[in-house]
Amino acid sequence: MKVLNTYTSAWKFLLLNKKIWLILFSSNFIFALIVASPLNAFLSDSIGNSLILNSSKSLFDYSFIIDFLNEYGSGISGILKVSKWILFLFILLSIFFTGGILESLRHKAADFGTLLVGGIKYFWSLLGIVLVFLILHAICFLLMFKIFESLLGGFSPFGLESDAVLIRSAWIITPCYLILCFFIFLWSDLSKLSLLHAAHKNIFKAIARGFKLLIRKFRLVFPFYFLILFTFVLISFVYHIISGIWELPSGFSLVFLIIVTQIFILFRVGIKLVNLYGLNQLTKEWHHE
Amino acid sequence: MRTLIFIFLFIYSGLNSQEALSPRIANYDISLSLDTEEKKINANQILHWKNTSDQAVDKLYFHLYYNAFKNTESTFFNFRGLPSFLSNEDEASCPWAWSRVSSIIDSQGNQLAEQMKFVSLDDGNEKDETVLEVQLITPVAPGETHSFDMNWEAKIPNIMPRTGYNKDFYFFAQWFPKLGVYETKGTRYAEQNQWNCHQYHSMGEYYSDFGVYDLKINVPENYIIGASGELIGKEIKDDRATWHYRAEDVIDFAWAASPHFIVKEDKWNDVKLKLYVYPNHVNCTDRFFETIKFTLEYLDEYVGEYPYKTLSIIDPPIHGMFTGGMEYPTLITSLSFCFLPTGFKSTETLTVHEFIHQYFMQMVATHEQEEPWLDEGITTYYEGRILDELFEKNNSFVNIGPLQIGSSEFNRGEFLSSEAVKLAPNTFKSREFIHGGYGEISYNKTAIWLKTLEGLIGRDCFDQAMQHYFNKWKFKHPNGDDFEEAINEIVTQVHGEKFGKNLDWYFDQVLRGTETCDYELYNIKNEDKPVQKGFYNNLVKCEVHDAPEGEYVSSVTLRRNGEMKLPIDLLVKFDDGSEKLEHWDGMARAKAFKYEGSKKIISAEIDPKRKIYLDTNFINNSKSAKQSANTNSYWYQFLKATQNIFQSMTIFI
Repeated sequence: MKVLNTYTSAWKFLLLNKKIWLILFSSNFIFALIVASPLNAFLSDSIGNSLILNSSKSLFDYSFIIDFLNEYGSGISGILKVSKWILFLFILLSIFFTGGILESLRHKAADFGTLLVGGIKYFWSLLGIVLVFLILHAICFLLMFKIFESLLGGFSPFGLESDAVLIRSAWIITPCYLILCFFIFLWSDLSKLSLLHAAHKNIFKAIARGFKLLIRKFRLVFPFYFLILFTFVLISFVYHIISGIWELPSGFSLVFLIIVTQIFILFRVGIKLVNLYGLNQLTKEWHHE
Repeated sequence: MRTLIFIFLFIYSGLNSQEALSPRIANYDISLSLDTEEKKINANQILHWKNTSDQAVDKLYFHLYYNAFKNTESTFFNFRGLPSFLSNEDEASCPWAWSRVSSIIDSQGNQLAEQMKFVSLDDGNEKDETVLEVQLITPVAPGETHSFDMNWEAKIPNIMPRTGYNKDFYFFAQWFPKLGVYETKGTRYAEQNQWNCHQYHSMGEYYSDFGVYDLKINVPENYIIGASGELIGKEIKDDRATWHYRAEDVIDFAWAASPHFIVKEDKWNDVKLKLYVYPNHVNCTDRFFETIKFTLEYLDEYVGEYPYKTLSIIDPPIHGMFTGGMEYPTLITSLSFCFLPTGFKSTETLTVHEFIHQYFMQMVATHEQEEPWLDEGITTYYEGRILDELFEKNNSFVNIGPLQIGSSEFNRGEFLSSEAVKLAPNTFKSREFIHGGYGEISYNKTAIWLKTLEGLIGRDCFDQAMQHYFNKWKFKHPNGDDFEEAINEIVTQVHGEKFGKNLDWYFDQVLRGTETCDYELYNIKNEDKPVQKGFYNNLVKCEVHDAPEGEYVSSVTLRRNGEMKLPIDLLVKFDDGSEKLEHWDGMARAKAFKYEGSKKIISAEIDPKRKIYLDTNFINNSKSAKQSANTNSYWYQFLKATQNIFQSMTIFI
């Protein structure tokens, strides 16, 4: 019951602090637009008048894609190269905003000033935590990869008794890997919250506290995190159904789908915030014990 | 009594001497024993060979394919380099193999073992022992058939390309001492009677004469054998079983053995279909049989009859995948990859492809090492065509959600995306593709230009030409010239001189040339009819004639960007709903079509029926006066993907 109450109150808190939500969504939209805008002009100039696009039945037209990459691939690769740097900037900005979100949790208010102050205050600590957990994810992936390899007895197909071994091993390893990732993500979020409630900015202490918190409050945070995940899956499913109605949207359907996509991204951003709000709600007493 | 004997002989001859489909020049009786402990074969082989030339023959040449795997110095590995699984092998395991003829006795009882030596006529590599020359003591006179009784043994390779064993799966292809082809003058490119027996190169497989193969294969009792031809009988003695197989009018014999095979059977007309499959692949049975039956039906209708009574499909286990996707007479190997989604149609693709080889290089026995396009290219063309008919042309290769790829278009994509588009002409021998491009050019490019040829001359004419080629050359050894001649005969018969005296202009470009084809619709113009100014009705006073309102001068300009020249169609659409189909010989670098009148051009398209599959860029084939709304759709998809990727990255933050 406590979990459900927390879940609903986190959404309420989000609705009361729409500014942060909108700022985060806007940053996603603006950065993506910066990446995608040159493509619009490029497509119009290069293939805008070709009839081939009208005869395509679906968006994935193999012959069109092959010819496009052969003929205009250099233009696309230029756009993709730039987009890597824009993505890097977006990640840094997201880390900065996460600091702001933490600060807003402290003050229970979310104006632009709080966001800015929190961003500055927590940026380097959060960057450190992000890096540590990225390393942890890499170790986890490598570990699972090695276990998968040892279950198979090596990746050479010539050493496999049958391809059933491959499938069986994948069925064992994939859920294990996902569960492990689930814990690491949860641990990472709790570590960030520890940073907020601790008097220091030592990331390793925050990570250790995050782990303790995960163990101590597991019965509460696990179902909450699961609920968050379920919400994400549900929203993604609905979005997938709606966006699959038109294979090649144009005119009204295109405008409609652009709006639907923005609502979906808005929800994704919102779920992330609800997660932090809720986890904070569930664990804040422990921090002050 | 005499009547009884006569009746008996009549019935016996009726049962046993089914009319020969082929010349049956090289016939083999082989009795062999498979040693699964030592990984060896011991065999006695009697070769009955007929000299069909007008000259006595005093030498024989045999392929000893397994010697290609004797060591790293063979021509096979010199060209190909060592596969990673061989270079990483631990010292204890020895995957290498060999083949050794210990005795060869001719019809006169002469032992010829002392007369044998290895020769390397292709590259002079003395370390290569894949061709054995035998000097005869008694030459084989013209028209005579001599028998040669041979004893030989072979060490079986472990995981080598196309053949060998792994765990308890065995596949024997290009495995026994096989006679080369004595090409009589006029056969293919032979200017005189001569042996054609190339070393075993890593690309290109085999070329042999037709004959009857009678095999008695002795294996441990628990092993199941799948082989070329028909199973005549099986005898069990002392924990060993002898399987008797017979294949008639074929150019080779292959077989597989495993204790784990499950045999599934089906039928198409009188053809007995057998699938040899491992237990965990049994669920793929229908995919194999449905595909093969469709292919048999299709080729029967559009190419010619499949005259054999059997077809065996071997589905190797994953550890035997080095033998997958191979073609031998009345036996093919596929790979089912049952763990992949069924929308990934590799099983169907391989099954169709390998079966088509029964026609092109088994029955129409071309030389794959010398002219790979004649079998791999034609086969790839039909592979695309059959799969596009069996499924849909935009998803016959991959059909997984929105990811849809057709077989023919995949073949085109493979060629155009490669770096080998202009690397070599189609006429290269397999071993001449030293800088790459073997697959892209021999397989894919040929398939594309055959599809283009089909577009140019029409499918009916194309089918007629291919039927003519097949019927004229089945159970013989044609070359590329014979193919061209067969096509030319029918095209001139159907179209007269519409395409010139023959199609040499086409074959010169696609077969012997390396150039590409790209026609571009450069621009569309719609301009008001200009005002007329100047001296018209007299030489004194300038006149100005206003253009009538609503009159336009419109034009479409085409460009030829590639060096290849092909006749093309142009479809022009006007704003009043009318259309005009134009034809251009495609010879000049550019060509404009002009129209005057009250209508404007709204769009134009080169090759609207997509006959010219060789065109490297379909995007520039058309233009419309208005921009397509679909560019927005593509842009939106990119924006959506970017937003989602960006947001997904925040999961780590």
